[in-house]
Amino acid sequence: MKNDVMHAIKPTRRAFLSGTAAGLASLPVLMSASGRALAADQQLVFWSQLAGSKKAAGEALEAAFKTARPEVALQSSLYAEPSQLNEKMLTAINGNTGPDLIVQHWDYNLTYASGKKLVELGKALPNVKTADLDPSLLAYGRIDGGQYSMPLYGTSRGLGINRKLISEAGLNPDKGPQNWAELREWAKAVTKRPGGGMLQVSGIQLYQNDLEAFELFTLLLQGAGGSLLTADLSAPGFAGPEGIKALTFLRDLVVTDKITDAGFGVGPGGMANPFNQGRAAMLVAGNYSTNNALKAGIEFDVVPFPKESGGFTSLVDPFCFAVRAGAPNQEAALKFVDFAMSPEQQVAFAVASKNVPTLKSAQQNKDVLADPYLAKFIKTASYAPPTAPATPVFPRMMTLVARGVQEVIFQKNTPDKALKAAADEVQTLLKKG
Amino acid sequence: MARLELSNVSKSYGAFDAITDVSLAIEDGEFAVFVGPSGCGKSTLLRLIAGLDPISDGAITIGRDDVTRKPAGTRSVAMVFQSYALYPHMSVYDNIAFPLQMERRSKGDIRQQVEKAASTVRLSTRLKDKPAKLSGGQRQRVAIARAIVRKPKIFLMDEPLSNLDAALRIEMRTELTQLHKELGATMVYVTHDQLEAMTMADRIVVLNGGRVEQVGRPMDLYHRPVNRFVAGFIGSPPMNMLRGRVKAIESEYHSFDVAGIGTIVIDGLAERLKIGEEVVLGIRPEYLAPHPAGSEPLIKIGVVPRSVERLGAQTIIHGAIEGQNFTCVFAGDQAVEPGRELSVYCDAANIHVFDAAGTTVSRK
Amino acid sequence: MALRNSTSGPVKTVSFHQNWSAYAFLAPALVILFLSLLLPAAATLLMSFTDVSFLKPTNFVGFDNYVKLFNDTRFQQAVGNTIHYTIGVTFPTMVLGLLAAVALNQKVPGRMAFRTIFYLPVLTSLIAAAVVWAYVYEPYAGPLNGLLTRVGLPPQPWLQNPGLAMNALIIMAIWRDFGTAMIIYLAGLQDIPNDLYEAARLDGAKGKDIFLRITVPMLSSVTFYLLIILIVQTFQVFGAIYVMTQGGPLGSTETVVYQMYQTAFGYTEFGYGAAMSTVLFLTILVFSIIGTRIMRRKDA
Repeated sequence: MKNDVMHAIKPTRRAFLSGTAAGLASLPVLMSASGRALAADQQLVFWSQLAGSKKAAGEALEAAFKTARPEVALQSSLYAEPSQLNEKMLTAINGNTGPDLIVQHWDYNLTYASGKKLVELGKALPNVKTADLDPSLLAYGRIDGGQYSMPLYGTSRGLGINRKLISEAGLNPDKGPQNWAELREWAKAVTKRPGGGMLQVSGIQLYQNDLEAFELFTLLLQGAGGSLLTADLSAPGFAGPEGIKALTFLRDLVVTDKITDAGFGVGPGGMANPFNQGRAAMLVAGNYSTNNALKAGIEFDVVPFPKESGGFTSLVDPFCFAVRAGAPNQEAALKFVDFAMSPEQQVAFAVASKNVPTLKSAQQNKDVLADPYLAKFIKTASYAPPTAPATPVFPRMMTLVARGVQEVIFQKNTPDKALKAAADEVQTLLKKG
Repeated sequence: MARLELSNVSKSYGAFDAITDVSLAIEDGEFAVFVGPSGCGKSTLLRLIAGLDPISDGAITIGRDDVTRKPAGTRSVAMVFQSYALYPHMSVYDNIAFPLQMERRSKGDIRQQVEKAASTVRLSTRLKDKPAKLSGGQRQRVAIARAIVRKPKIFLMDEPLSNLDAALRIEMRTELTQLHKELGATMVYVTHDQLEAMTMADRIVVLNGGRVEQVGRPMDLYHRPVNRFVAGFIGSPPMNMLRGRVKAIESEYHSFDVAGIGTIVIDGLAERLKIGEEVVLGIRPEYLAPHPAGSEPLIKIGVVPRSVERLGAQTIIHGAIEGQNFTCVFAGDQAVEPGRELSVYCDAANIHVFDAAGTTVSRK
Repeated sequence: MALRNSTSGPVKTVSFHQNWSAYAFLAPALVILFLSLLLPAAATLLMSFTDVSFLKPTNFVGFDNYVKLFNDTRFQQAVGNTIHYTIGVTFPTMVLGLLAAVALNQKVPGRMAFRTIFYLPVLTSLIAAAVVWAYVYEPYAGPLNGLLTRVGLPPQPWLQNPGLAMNALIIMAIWRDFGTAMIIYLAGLQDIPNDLYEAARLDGAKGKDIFLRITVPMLSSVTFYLLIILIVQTFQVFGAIYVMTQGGPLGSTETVVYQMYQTAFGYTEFGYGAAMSTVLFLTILVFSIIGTRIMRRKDA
């Protein structure tokens, strides 16, 4: 009886082996089939990182597109984390599958573009005239002479101030510091360090993370007349006398003037950062700073960031579209970009997200300027140079420069040595291409 | 070496009384064995003496010390556990040395003591081994050496031989007895095996249900058990028990009506029973013989053997009378056939009489 | 017949021929193991000899990545940080876990409640815990500095100072892991026969002697096991760093796995990242082998 049962459930060897073989053979078929299903024939697959404060604006843009272009079946996925979209995208590019269209922070797009994995957009968008667009923002999408990445919008940088703390120190919050000397005086005046001991209010909240440390240095570097890279983007330009001057100024603020503590403000940010708690009088602000500061009840305002001896500077930081080379629905993807760059959508997105539109005419639209803060960030954006560190080694360079800046602030290195070390590494990376 | 005295010792776990009012004295140098069926409280009593559990009531004295409230380890007693409780991560040397190390003795002193104890238990060559490498008997000896080395006033042993095989158990029994003689130590030994108790003890303490049933030398318990329990527990195979009733009393003679046998007449009882009183008559199997022999009065009992064990030196017959097991042990080889009725004989003087309460009716 | 052959034949002569049904039942597991473990591991090893970026044509570069790795001061810093983290987490976690286990192995009131409380952090999501701890360490509004200020100590820039940040991460990891150590030690304690404690008490050993001479050595296999899993686990720390410090400040919390992630996904240097991964894999493998060897020798 037992034997009978054993025999009955015992698969024959051949049946088993052929079954296993069939299973193994079908795996790649299944995998590619599912990949194909994702990119189903007439669907425009769109991976978007328009999350957080841009979420409503992004949804409105997609809804408007669906109404205007009913023939295109839009299938969009939202990725909250920048790194998450990048990781998926790298995998997708590797497997020659994935989305037709993406929109995300500009730097990752340049990485893909450097490997010729994106469509050149310069001539592919008939209704978009380059001359109508903000050259500063546009610069972040240009690599190897081509416009591989199209900015939907950008944020710009100014000096965010806490009007209450500034007024209390007897300064005029409507005017803002006009040069570095005044910036320094302001910072010293608003710093509260009772008895020279524990920091109660920092003059300037310098940075929360590596990217902000890098941006702060960039603003000071530009203020001293320098730039990150040479004009042809082939060599670092930040380690020259301008860079050293910028970093020395920063070091003096912390080490000599003690307007803040080294590392002050580093952390997750958002509502919890010291500026939003009234523990810092100034910071390098972007469009994204407004909502949290107001929500935290700060008397928030933005003034332009001063250069060393008068005049202002800024930088912009765009979110860019990119169309994947080899994607099945490039045509529909281009339609979407074209639509998003139209005057109506540029205005609508700017109003909804409070970010600086790429279209110059939209920057002057009265609905856009109706928001006082957005108007101020559009103003500061005009101080940004029409160049960008648009190189695939940017993420690396950002980390290296930020590290150098922090080494100086923590007094582990001198400005010249720290910048030299970073520049040497960046040079090596640029040469490798 | 010291005398151990328990006075009215009781131990309860919640509502359960494990030990009830035990008083006894164990003399200096005596080998006392606590014996009883499982759950009788013999191991509990040992743990109370060791101080591993606190007593609920009463007092314990060792020598002149009242140790009732003293923690274990300060009572100058050593214990050998049923499981040996050797420290598996230590070598034999360290196991034996452990109590001395706890006393912070000097290294040289410890070495000397350990080597002496090890040679006493014949383990001098195994000092570097871990317990896992030793046989059961060797582990047992390590445990004993660990006890010896402390020079305790009292040795406590909790069923130390029960994990050994039969042959080794007999060997170790002799060794322990020998050791006791050499050390002249006071030992309290717990076992459920009456054979161990009989062979090793100077005195046996029979426990049952947390109470002491009888204390005495082995042969006292064998010949003069105070009650049915002790009579049934001591001796192997156990005593045959026959239900009966007092039929008549005439001067010195009590005659009993015994189911399945008939009338049995016994003389020399120290007290007078009542006519009609229920009794139990106890006859040890080894006091039954296949032929009438010796002095009068002889009692003849008919039994049908169900099985026969012929061992050469002895012949053991298993039968039943009125549903009660009835066993006979004959000396030498006897050709007995199972199933055929057999008459066996016994001297009336060797019959134990227990009253309705189970208490022995003593003889003059 | 096949079954009888496979069980009764001498081991040496067992072949695939006789055991095919055993392999048949193992096959699904083997296929999954191959696809999810061996294949990616082999791919990683292969990648480590290339300059693969997934964007540009891939070239075979031989041992270049490894040569670069051993001359990379930033990688050396990451290795140093990882060792700091591993030592910082492993030993306190084991000591605290052991003490908690010994304390809660006694019949103290509320011990079940304490066991649960100590074990709870293990069950929390790492990301959620990291967010909460980032708040705890917040220098101005955070409760930890609030506590320090209240007892008259100066507040500390926990995650902002290169000298403190790693220790702050270590404290959080200990908080999270010592419950695991406690549970494993508790299980180990239950395995120690009560007889040994009683024998030791009778031999005159007191609390400290019993703990050091009986409890600790009797737990040695548990301790080895914990040591190995904690080393292997802490070598791979990533989540807390990703959420709380991103390797900063000044690279002071940049560990091998975080750097590997940055290199591969942040800088698209997958070949170099794969070399880091391979070195880490081999290191962990060595520890695992040492661990298994020791355990096996102890069992024998």
